[in-house]
Amino acid sequence: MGTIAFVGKSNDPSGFQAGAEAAREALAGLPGGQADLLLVFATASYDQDSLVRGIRSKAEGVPMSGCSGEGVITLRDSAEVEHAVGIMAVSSDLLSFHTYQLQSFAREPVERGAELAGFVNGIETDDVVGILVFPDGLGGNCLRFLESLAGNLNKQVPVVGGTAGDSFDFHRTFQYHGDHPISDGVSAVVITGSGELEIGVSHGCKPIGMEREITRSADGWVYEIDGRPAWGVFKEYLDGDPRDLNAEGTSHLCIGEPLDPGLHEAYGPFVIRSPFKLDKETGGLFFPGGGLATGQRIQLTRRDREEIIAGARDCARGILERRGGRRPDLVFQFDCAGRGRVLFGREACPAIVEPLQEILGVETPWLGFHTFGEIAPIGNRMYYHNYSVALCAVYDSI
Amino acid sequence: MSDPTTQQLEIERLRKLNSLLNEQVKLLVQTEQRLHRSQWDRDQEFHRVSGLADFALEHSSADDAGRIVTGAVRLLRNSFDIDYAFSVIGEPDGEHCRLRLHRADGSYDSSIARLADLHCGWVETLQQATLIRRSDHDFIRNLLPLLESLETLKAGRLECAQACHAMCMPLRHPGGDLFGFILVLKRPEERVGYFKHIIGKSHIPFIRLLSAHLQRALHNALLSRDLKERSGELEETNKRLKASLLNLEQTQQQLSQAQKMEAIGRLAGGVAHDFNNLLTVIMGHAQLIKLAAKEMPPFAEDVNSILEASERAANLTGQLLAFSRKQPWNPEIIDLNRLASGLVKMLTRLIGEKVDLQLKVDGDIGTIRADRNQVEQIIMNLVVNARDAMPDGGSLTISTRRARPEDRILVTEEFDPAGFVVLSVSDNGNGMDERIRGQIFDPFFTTKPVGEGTGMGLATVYGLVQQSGGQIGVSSRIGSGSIFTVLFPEESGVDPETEGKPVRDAIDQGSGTILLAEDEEFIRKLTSRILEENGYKVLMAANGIEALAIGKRDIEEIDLLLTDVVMPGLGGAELAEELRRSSPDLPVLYMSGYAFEALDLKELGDGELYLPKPFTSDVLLQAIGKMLKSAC
Repeated sequence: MGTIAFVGKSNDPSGFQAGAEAAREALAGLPGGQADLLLVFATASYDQDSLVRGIRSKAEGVPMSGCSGEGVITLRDSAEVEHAVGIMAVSSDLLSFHTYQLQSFAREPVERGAELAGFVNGIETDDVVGILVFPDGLGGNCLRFLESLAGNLNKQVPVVGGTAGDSFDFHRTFQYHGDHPISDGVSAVVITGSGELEIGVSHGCKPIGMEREITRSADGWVYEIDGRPAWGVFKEYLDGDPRDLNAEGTSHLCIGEPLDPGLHEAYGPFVIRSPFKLDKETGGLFFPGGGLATGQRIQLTRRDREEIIAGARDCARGILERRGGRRPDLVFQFDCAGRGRVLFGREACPAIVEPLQEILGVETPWLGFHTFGEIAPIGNRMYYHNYSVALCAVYDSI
Repeated sequence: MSDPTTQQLEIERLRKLNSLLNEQVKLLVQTEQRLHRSQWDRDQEFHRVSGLADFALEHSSADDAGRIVTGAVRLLRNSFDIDYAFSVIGEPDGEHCRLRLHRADGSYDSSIARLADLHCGWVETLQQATLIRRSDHDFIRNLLPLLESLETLKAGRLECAQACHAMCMPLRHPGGDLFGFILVLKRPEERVGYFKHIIGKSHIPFIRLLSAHLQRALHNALLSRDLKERSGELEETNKRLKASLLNLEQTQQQLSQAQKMEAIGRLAGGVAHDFNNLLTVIMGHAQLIKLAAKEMPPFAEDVNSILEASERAANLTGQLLAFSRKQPWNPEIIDLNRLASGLVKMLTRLIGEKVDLQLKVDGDIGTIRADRNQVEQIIMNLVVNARDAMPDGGSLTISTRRARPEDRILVTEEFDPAGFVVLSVSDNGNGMDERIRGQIFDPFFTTKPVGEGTGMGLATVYGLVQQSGGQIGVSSRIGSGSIFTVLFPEESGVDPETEGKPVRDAIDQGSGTILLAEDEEFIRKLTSRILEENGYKVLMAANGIEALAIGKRDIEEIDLLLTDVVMPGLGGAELAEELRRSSPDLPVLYMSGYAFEALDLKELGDGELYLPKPFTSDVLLQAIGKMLKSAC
């Protein structure tokens, strides 16, 4: 049999109806309607308990994972609307899926990383294919979480995923696992068995101006750049002298954190970081991924449409080439919320979704969401990204 | 090699250039952002207009006001940042309205409210969609009372009075009358969504375009609702009209049938009357001849044949009279169950062994008022008819019950069967088709071969039922048998037979003086002869006036008045009335080929009896003897 996956989706404004409809559609494609895993991405506008109840009405007891996002990506569709849910139902006799959920992510990211590593280490198998992670996107130092996870795993394992989002309210996100969604958590899926993950990541931003230095920062907050309030530096590049940081500003201007030169060829000179909050009193900007320590050299960056499109396509082509042209069994796309409708308007899907699907297969089961942050390795190291796309193609060993 | 000063100058120049470049970059980045924002705004506008086009297409010809309003609110929610959305649509009575609170998931909470409880006078003043902020004067003075009334009507679960932005969209008919409004509200919040904006002045053109489409769609829907209601009323009226026409048709058919039967009845009654008079003469003389020819067997046999034939002819004319409802009617209180039970033995012999007779009586029915003989005749004729419908045998059931509402279909739709008692006779014989059912009560109609039936049995039943104030109907299907249902009006009382009193007393012969009034000479002479030969003194009169003269002269001598009913000048009833002025207890024996058409009597009083023609001398003598005995 190998690995079979089907995707269902719904835009019904009722959470229960939407969850049931999408689950029914996804399960209908599987033999006997039996799934080994349900991966769920949905917009945060839903009554989340009703949404999960609706899913469970069709798939009681099936291992489930996922999170909320700014939009849902499926085959030939990028639904950045108030109500959207996408569900992938997977069944495989070569791969196994182990779901896990962590709580209190923002307060204890290091402990959560160690906890997840402990869970992975405890799975009785040597064949850990990879880990999908979906942390809360509004808090929690993702970098420290990933460092802790990497440091505590007893083997090197690719980690890929996206941080949960909402509709640019920056209010509350949700993580799915059991029968009740939570916030400030991490949902994870450990894939074991005979298979491999092929991961590609790219951003498409270009540096502007000279290199700068973070002169004061703490716990994800960057207070000063080149001795000046960080917000003051940012504002100079934003139109209209804005009084607050909004989604438009967040997606228009980012920070590029320089990478080790050894990674430049494979990825580029820097990884992108976006600010999510502004402290008007101090002029500090909060970067939810963490990092960006005092003394860090940074580059201001701006998004480039052509670079974004080209970079995404290169990700997909790279995956295909590495596998000798073999199409994957299923694909996950974790794409930054600032790269979809915010940038491309109605053309988001034709720009950043359909071209990838044409490369990796228009019939390949495809599910993703618009994230507040992306998690993907560069080289052998786990990284937290912003304003990027992380593509994860799953190949079983059939 | 350049000197330090040159280098310094160069560095300074490069710094300035770098600064200029930086500024240029900033400007470029800002310009790019403006360009993107402009594209974004256009994209949003396209998104809104596209939504409006979809709304117009979907709802332009819809007839469900709730769906239309929900669609408009959904479009507003998809386009703008809205916390509360209300719609108010007036009800046809002009005093109430349908108030809906629209939720984010597309559902709504609907209720009927009194317009007087909704402080929406301010909305009346709005001609177009209007934005209002909390800082505006109108907000506190006009909008706040409306918001507070909405909170009250929705059981205070909302906090819409805390809203800071509002948009009110009045809905007006083409003539300008306000029929509703939509009100959307935004609470003060720090968070601002990216894709949705608070409704602002730049959105007014879109809002007003939506308002125009919405008003048109709702106006059409309300018109459509009115039209449907009117159509429904028209359809209902049409149905009633059709039913009335059908009823009229049925009534006309029944009237026509009744008129036909009445005409046939009059004809039959007239023929019967004349025949009865002739038969009276024939039978009377035949009896006299029989008495005289007792010792001459050949003549006796011939006379017996004449008498038998006369009796059969008398029977036939009797049936004709029954059909024409001209039979004598001696009503009394009858227990139908007892009467029917009493006939079972006789009927069992009548129908033969091949037919199984069952009697099913309902002990809960009341009594009726009818002529006992006639009711027995009715049952007998129906049983005989049922027997004849089962030549190879079958099952015959006589049953009684209270009338039910559905029995009305046997007569007319307007017939009220309440207060009626039902007697039904059913069989599982051949059944009848519609053509035969329509003729079975016609006199002389028969499906039997010539010579095997007179065709008067059911016609007789019909006449007797009518005379009893009842109704008769039949239901039948070919191969499934028939059910004859007779409805008698119920009348409370005691059946004399239940008290053990005999209906008929024994008749004794006597002597006395009889005043005989008969305008038919043969009958007068024959009757007089019979009476005189049996010891009575007869004072004959050829008409009522002559009889009155004789009676006034000899009233003290006269013991009984025997009079024909119909006579020229003075009829039998008037003659009796006149003579009873002088002799109130004078017994009166009426005789006639008809029964009551000249008497105008519904029933006979004390000391009165009726003798139908033709009668035998025995019957005549018995009747006179009974009356004279009673008078003593």
